[in-house]
Amino acid sequence: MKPFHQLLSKVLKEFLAKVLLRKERSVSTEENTGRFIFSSSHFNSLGAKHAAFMPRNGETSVFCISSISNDEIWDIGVNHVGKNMEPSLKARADIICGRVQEIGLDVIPETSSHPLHANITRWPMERDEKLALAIDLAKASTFHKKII
Amino acid sequence: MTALALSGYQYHLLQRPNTGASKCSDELDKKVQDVIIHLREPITGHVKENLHNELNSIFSECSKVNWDKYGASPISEAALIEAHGFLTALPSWVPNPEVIPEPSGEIGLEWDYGKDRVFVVTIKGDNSIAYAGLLGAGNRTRGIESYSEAIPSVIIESVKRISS
Repeated sequence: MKPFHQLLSKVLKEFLAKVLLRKERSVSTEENTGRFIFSSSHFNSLGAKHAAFMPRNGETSVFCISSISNDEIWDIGVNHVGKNMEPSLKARADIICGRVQEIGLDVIPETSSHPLHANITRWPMERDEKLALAIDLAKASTFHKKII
Repeated sequence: MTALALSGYQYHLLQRPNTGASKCSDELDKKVQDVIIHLREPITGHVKENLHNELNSIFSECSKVNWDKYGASPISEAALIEAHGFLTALPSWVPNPEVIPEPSGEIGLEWDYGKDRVFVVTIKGDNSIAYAGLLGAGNRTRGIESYSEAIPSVIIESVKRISS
């Protein structure tokens, strides 16, 4: 039987190899991301509210929209996220990935459901910290109301 | 149309007996009484009543899972009850907040005065309030305070700071 330190070394090496290979590449800094808004209480004439960006299970779902047209962007919101059901899509808040990173979060692709889907991640655990960051995101975003 | 201009609290001048005998006189007297009733109504009471109604309306709209299409939790009854208490305890001079449903099931109350002046509290229903805000000139605040009956002074002070 191998000495314990050799076994431990082997396990650590295998673990590190897995971690290094599983690199989470952030979305490009210049990429514009859109957060679709379905609640009329999550925006007003001044723009999106912090609640529009608050995470669910540590993530905030967004879409990378730099490479598609305005119609295609709204189509994702209506049909993919909203599934064309009530509550209907009301608006959208866009924020550049680099700005998200400046705020202290990150944008990681998560393409299992859609090739342009990503998540804003690295949210803290504490309520007040999350609130503060969500306020920053809302204030940094560009608001677009959906024209019916 | 008949108009009556009043300055200050001169409605007491209106409290004279109706000496007319015609139908028009009765109608005019009724309108004067309506004015007196309106002037006597407490402004803050009505405004707060509207806020409580808005809170109830949002609770109804956000009472199901996934109300925001991102898996939001329903607003909890505990949060609703505590938020009602909070609104009642707000001093009358404090501007009305916007009521915002939180995806976590909490209730948010927001005072927003622009890009760098915004203050939010969230109420969970567990006797704790989380708050965060931008207070202007690069100043920021955030924290968690316990809450039972009296609104923590840091919250009142923060609202006062951004609204002045």
